[in-house]
Amino acid sequence: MKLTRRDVIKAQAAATAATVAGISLPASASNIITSSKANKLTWSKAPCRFCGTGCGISVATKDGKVVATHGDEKAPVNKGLSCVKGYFLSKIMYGKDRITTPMLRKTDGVYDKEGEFTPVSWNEAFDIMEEKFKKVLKEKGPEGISMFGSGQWTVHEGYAAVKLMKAGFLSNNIDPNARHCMASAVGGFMRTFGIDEPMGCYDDMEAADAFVLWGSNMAEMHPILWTRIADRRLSNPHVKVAVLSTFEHRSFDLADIPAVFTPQTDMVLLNAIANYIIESDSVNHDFINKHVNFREGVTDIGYGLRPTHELQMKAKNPNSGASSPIDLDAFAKFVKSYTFEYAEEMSGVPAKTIEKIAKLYADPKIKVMSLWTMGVNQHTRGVWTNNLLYNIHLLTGKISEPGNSPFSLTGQPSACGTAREVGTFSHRLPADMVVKNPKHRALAEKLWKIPAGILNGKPGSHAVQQIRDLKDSKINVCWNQVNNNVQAGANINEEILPGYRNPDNFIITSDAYPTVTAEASDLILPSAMWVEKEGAFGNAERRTQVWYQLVNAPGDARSDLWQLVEFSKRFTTDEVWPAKVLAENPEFKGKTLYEVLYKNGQVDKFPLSQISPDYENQESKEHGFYLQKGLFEEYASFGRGHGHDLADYDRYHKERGLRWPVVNGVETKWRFKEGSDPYVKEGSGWQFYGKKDNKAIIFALPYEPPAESPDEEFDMWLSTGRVLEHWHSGSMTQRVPELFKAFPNAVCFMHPEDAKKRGMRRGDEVKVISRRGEIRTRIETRGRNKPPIGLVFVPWFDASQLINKVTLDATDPLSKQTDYKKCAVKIEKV
Amino acid sequence: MKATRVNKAVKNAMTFAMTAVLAVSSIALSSTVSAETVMDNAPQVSTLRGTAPLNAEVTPPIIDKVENNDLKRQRDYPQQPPTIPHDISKYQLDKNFNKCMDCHARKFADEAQAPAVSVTHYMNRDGEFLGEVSPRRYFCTQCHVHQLETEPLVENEFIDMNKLIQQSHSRNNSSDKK
Amino acid sequence: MRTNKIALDDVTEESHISSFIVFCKAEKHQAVEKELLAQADLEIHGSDAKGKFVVVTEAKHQGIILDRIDLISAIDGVINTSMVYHQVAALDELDDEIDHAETDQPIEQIYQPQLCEVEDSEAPSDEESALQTVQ
Repeated sequence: MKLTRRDVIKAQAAATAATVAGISLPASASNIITSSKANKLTWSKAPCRFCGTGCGISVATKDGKVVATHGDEKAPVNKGLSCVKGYFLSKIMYGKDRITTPMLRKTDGVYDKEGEFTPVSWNEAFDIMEEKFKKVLKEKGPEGISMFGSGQWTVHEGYAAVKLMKAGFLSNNIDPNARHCMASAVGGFMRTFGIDEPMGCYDDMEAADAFVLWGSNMAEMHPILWTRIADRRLSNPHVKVAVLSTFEHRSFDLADIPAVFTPQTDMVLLNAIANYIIESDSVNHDFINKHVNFREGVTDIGYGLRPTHELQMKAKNPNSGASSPIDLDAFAKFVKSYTFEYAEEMSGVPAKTIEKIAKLYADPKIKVMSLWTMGVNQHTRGVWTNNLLYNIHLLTGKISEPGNSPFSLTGQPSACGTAREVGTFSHRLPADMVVKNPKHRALAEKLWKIPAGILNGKPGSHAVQQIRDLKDSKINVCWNQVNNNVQAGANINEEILPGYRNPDNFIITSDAYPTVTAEASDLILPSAMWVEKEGAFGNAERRTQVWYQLVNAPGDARSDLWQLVEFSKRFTTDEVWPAKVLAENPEFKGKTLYEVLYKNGQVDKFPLSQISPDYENQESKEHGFYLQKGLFEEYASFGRGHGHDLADYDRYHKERGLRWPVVNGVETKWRFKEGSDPYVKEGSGWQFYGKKDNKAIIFALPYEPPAESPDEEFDMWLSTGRVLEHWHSGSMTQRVPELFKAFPNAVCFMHPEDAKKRGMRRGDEVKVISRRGEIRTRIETRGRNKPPIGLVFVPWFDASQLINKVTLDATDPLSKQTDYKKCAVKIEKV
Repeated sequence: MKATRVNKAVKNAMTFAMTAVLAVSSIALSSTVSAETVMDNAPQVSTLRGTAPLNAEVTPPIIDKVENNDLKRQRDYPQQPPTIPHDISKYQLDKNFNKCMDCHARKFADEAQAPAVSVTHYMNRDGEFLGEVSPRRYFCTQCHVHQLETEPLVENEFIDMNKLIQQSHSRNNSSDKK
Repeated sequence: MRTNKIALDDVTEESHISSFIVFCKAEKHQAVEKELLAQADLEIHGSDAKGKFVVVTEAKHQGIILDRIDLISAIDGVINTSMVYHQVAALDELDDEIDHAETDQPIEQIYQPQLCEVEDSEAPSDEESALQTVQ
């Protein structure tokens, strides 16, 4: 058949229109044949690499390169939309400075902590790692090594990592940077409901009559979810949007009820709303009688600082999450002092505004969705504040039904799927289990087919503790994957850099790009990223999404999964397990960790023939079995039948994700609700089955002040956060020219009056100084963020302005999550 | 600390390899090394900090102006949202008013000589066409961003599909001839 | 909407190729289809039988295309006509033959976002699986 240029252009015109209209061109109608294979693009699906929204992306590849990305029309999350970052996903893998070979600090050809980064082979890289791990394991035992990952690990990688650390090295020193991000949310869920992750789902956004943002700036941080809320609000005039924050930002553009509050006083506002619900007789008594218990928590619990810190010594009950039972009357009495007047005095929000917000919750006819992320979680009372949010939904029974939804959003693509569900935290095991519980350990040992009693029952060092342990030489080897902790961790100067550069320590960082963390390390391993490997992410609405490997990584870059599994081959049980255990279980003697953990009859169960012939899968082909499927299926065995059911792995390749629990092939939209959640018994209405008596808990918890507040010398609040165009530390988005040019450098957003008072103008160079460190930046008095007098906002994506030199490493004492939203600073002109 | 971020032109040209070489020579000068050496010197591999050591903070670049020349820019592929070639800093864009639509709405585009928003913007979540721009697309800046008068720190080696198709064509042609 | 003006610096004669989505009332689908087919310069490349058509047209001048849109919009039952694609090409190049040494492939595999592995018409869509109760 002969073809002209005209035919091809017409075919392209038709195909583009058909895509927009959602029409498949029938072969008969588009019987135009292309000139050659040359024009062919392959379109595949993958979840977005960035935030926890979990948008579906259509990815076009051609000749081994990603050439286009846009929102997947078929993805229920985003229905064809994508934010600007999602559109530029196509370019994140092509920064010119991709790391393509392992690099070790060397002098005169041998490893030297003060040496130059020198390209080495994978073999040499693993050799030095093996040497360091073995030396530390011998000298200090499992407590001397650590691994730091993130919610950007794929489900498979997180699972392989937790297994290598906890079942292989018997060390619980593994934590994700989700600790900085979601730990308070997890704490809140476990404390109130006994089971992690939101009960509702994104469908709530099309059903709610009111949305209340607690400290969240969804317009920039979860833009596609914001489009769903904007759609709902602008299409339905009765819908109200309340936006609460410590400074004004883009989400205020849609706000019917805007409110700027003093940092930390969200707790006062929440208790004031609870008080209003009770005093206005809006309590749903039927609901709380059947489904709720009341408890009062202990107070004065400290700030998660080093035990020697003055604030920590002063606390009466440092780190205590204890509580005792009370009833509704006692709870009513507890919140009685939280009047609107008191709340106005504390928060600066007018009583009338607080009343408007309170009424959204109190009115039984209004379906209300609360949304929050880092404002509530990065909070020295983050778990408490999560609890207080659930309080107001539980008091009114507004939960687990379409539109009535307390919804904790996530910041990383698999903070839920990997960090939380797989349990890559220092205290956790898969499916919400914890290392402290002997029954949980026994179950994990059984499912992992490892000797009974071998798992370590003592929780390991969490994110901030790992850093302190590195500085104090308690941990001497640390392996980072998928994180940029030297930019993301708090108090860089006093804690992180000294820990990394401590001569006793060996730091390994796996990354795709040379981040500041890589720079501060001793060995850099080149990682494959996103669609350069097969993977799975779990988003904030419990949706598990799987993708194929679509292109190969450049040079010698290999996936984190491959790195973990390969490294396991270098250890035998004799080297890392107690002799006593091996004597009792001689069948394990002499085996490598690879054989015990991955080639264990379970993970290697699925043959290569089950891999899609249309896609590459480097890790599997190298190891001789379908590695990802084996890992996923073994992992899924933890949650099936226990409220965390996942579907068969192969099904996820066909679906745009499914929300767990997936029971009998059907996903669950609203958990704990009869008719929606298969785990809820008929006739019960609601069942909070995470707790033994099926009741959720309302907690009486007071306002307690932040760890640090402005004073005469350090007279301003500092809040940090993100901007729309950059994701987290900017290691990917700063390498996309369009995103870089949209927001190239961090600035210090400041109220014009504050600038004037200090004799500063927009664009002036200033120092942002705290008790811990300083950065140099420029004043911005205009633009998207409008802080109130007395507060500045500095985004943290800019590697040339490390704002976390300034932030405080205070944490929530229960969740150990850092508070990046408030510390005291002064601003000085340079 | 005297280090400053190197000027943009240099940065732009600076490849990964060059950074490593620069660092090698600077370190080689100090033969005895202390624990601070690595931190006190220019980064060896990190590309987004210029020459500033990890423990030093240097003068930040000025706040660049917004590119405001109204010239359309090349897109990498058809579905990509165009970047905004003009200044929008004074535009009202909130639930009451959308200034962008003054010119970019299909009905005003002729008069304003501005590109009309694409038809996808008139589709709701279910793919049905609406009479007005869909509320889900109301906040333009979620996809369309302005560009500042600055140059990227790191080059991007993304290859657009037309180039790949051309390459593929010429490969096929040459193999045909064999 | 894309144009391709740059390529035309040295050519005098050009040709405009455009595609539209024609959106009509579902019950008028057949009648509208008839009307569209009756217009000589229009090609229907696809439809969903529920009121959406993919139409392609070629003209020497942009104005002609706009006129045709007006004509289509005037057809009884048509709700909306939206231009999606517009390319300007040099007229004398349009008849150039393009080699097709490789296997023949339907165009939808080229530009239509489609999952390679999905032939799963039996897999429930999200709407269908909404809130099915489980025994």
